[in-house]
Amino acid sequence: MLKRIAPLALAMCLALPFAAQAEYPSGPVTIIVPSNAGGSTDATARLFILSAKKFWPNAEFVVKNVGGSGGQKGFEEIAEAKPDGQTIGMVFTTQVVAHVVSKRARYTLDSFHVMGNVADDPEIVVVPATSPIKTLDEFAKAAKQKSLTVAVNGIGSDDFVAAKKFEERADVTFNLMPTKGSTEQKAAILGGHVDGSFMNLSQMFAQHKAAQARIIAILSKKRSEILPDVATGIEQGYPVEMTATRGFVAPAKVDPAILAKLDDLFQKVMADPEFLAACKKNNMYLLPMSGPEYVKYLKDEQADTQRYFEKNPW
Amino acid sequence: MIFDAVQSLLAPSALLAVFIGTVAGMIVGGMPGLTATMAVALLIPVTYALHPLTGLVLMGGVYCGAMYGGSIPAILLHTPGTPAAVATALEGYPLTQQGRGGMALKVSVVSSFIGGVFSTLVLLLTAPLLAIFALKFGPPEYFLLAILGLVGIVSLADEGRLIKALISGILGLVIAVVGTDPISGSLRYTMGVRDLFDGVAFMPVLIGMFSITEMLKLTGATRIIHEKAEIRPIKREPMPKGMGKFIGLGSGVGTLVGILPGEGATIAAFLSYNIARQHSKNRALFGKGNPEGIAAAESGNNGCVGGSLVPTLTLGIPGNSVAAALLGGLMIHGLIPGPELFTKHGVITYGFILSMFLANVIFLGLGLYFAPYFARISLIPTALLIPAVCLFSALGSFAMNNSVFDVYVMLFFAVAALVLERAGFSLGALILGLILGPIAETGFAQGLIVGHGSYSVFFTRGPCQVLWAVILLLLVPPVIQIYRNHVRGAKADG
Amino acid sequence: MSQRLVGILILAGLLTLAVLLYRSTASYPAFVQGSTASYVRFLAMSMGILCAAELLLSWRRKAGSGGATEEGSKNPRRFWALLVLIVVYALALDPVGFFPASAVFLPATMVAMGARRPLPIVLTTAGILAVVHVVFTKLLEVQLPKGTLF
Repeated sequence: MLKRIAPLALAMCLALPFAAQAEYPSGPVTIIVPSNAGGSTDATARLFILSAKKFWPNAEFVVKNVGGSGGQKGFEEIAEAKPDGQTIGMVFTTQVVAHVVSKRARYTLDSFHVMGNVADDPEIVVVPATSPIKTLDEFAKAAKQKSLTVAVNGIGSDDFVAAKKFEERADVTFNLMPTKGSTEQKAAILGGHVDGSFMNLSQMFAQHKAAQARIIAILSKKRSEILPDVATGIEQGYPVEMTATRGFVAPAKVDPAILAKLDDLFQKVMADPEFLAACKKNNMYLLPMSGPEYVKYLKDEQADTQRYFEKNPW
Repeated sequence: MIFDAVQSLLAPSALLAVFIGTVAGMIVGGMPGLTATMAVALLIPVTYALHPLTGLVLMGGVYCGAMYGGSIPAILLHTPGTPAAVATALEGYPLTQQGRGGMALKVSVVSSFIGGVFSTLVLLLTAPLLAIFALKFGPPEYFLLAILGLVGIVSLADEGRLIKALISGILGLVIAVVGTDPISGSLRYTMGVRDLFDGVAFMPVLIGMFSITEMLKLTGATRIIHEKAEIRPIKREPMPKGMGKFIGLGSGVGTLVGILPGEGATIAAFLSYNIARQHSKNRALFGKGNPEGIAAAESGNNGCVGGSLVPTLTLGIPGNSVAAALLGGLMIHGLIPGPELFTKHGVITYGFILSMFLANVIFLGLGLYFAPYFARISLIPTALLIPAVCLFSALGSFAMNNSVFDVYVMLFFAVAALVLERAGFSLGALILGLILGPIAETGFAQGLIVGHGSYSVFFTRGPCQVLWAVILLLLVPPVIQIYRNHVRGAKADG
Repeated sequence: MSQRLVGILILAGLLTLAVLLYRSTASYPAFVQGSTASYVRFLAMSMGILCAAELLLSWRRKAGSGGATEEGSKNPRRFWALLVLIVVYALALDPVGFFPASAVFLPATMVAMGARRPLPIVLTTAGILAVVHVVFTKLLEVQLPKGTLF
């Protein structure tokens, strides 16, 4: 019995790639997530799929995690994917533009058709709970008196660019400590090993609420619903803005008819109340942007990052 | 509240979730390259639809099961399922070759169980207190922690090959330098290969050096078990005596190291293995199949499970990548780490912690029951076994980062390992260096930033001084041993 | 090639590596010269000194006292066959795809390792591929190489 099934199973495995290409979407749609499983980008993709299945009941979606090198590997894989619409992917800032700026990437923003943005995670400035610093003014003043050690997530990350922007505004120089990610930053702040840290809201709001650390500013246009007591940088006289966005893209060369279908799917998911509720539950801050809006955002971001790169290349 | 927690845990759906989670974890942990992190991440959208407690105990089961599961292929096939099981492979595989794989599996499952239960108990009783301890560790302390792990090289060295072991360890550290500079962000020694930007992934290296190399050696044999060795009645060999001391040691070390955020389990396993090796009465047996080594290493890495959840639950700082994924699962249900978790959401939190006891009991039962059957793997003819293990090795190397390049890395290091081993270099030391390299370099460079460029930061801080003391304590016995051997050698010559 | 010679060649190679590594740190950015660059320099120096010491020692020890190490495979023909097969398999993964490559690799290697009866070969191959398909592709959604040739 098994002997007979075996060749059959084998034949099926072999035949899969040749499955007839009927009307799009046919066959599984792969979403490339340029980070490892378990992160917030990964979660966004998986929630997106849950909702997208409702609108395209016949399509199958799979996540492909291509982590590492600050997302570069994944971004390149999206850009170089076969342009048949069966592969789309996610991008996140500032990494997606930072790789272009530092001339490491084998893609440019033109390699992508941008579908739109889903969520963002605003940048914050946080100090240890025991620190006397309570505002950005005091932070800048302290930095002028002595060298403050400030943790950021790696060179070229959103944290790093935000810290550089703040340095420029406040005319100070930090003793910057690059880390391998938010876990190290959290431990350094909670343990009082550094004087401050630039990081993202979702990574620290729980500790702020539990009074284990203090967020002294949020670097977005308006205050966050989650922490209405934290003033923005603009309010405090330091108009520094930074946020980490997470959106969807497709390879640029895909047939325009298929791209229209994908854009339509994206808009439908973004209007799906169940998806929105799920995101909220996951502590994601929705920042819906249409394709053209997000393209403009990415281009501005790239120009901005370019400026800081030229001053202090990495 | 604990009573309520017990009650909600006893619901059939919760019990079933613990069981499924633990079994899935054992499978995932047993396949090199599949990690508990991957499984937990996949479960997050699933748990979304479940009751919060059911979802959490499912993930907790995966975590507990996976940490134990890694030891099964390590013992039977010299293929560590997780990096934390390398020390287990060093001692367990020789036992399998001697026809005593069943006993080795028993020691491993019992030690894993005790280590896991002990650390969960610590988590249950003293989590907030221990969290303060975790916070004392800043970058300078991590540097010294890496040094502490590297001291193990000295005791991994075979007699008369200390210098070669040291060279192997440093070679591991040098290989770990490849990739992105942790401070400047610039690329070093990557030769433009994108897959090297994050450094040489250590799981493929591990699989190549341990698994593929062993398979190549096995080509000359018909079975894993030595032909001369009598196949013992695998089923009935009892646990050897005197394991208690080493299990206790591993449980303690594992829990303590696990509390520190970072690559805890591997360091914990090596550290307790190293201490056991130095303090055992059967030193000579180490490296040739000593159950004491298995006991120390396995209780060490399972001790990390409870420990790593201490900072996760109390501070929201995940102890490792699995804990990070678990944290995501908690947040979905509005469970935000901090004191509230133990008061307002106490029923769920305590239910989750208690479920880990249950998960430990489940893998103990399954492990003991199936040990004799697993052990029969060593009887499979190599003609069928070798191709299968090679396939899963390639698959595991690939799956870690979805990268075919990593399969080439595996092959390269398999061949390199054959040559190095023939020349008397120590593969264990090389792996230790490779795993600890990034921690050492980042800790060193960040420590200097924290200390504003002064080396004194590594000596003046309280926890640093404690760590230096432990490092010296660990170095004294092997140095005395080497000195004695030297004197004896000189006498024999003269 | 004798074992001792292999050892000396490796040590000499590592010594060269240490020197090159040391010299390469000069090109690190200026602001990490005091941190990561000096860490790498320390590694290079330690490795260089240890290799030199071991080379000297092995010189003094003279031939023959190195002691025999692990025996290799007792069947060199199978050893090389396996090595070649894995290398070919690894190289074939990308162009051919995981399942076709494995469907050839498994039975070929089994035969090369001395399996002769067709039934176990076919059953094991089919069983392994089925397990991989269920666990990796279906349950864990790992994207295995699909093959680029077709």
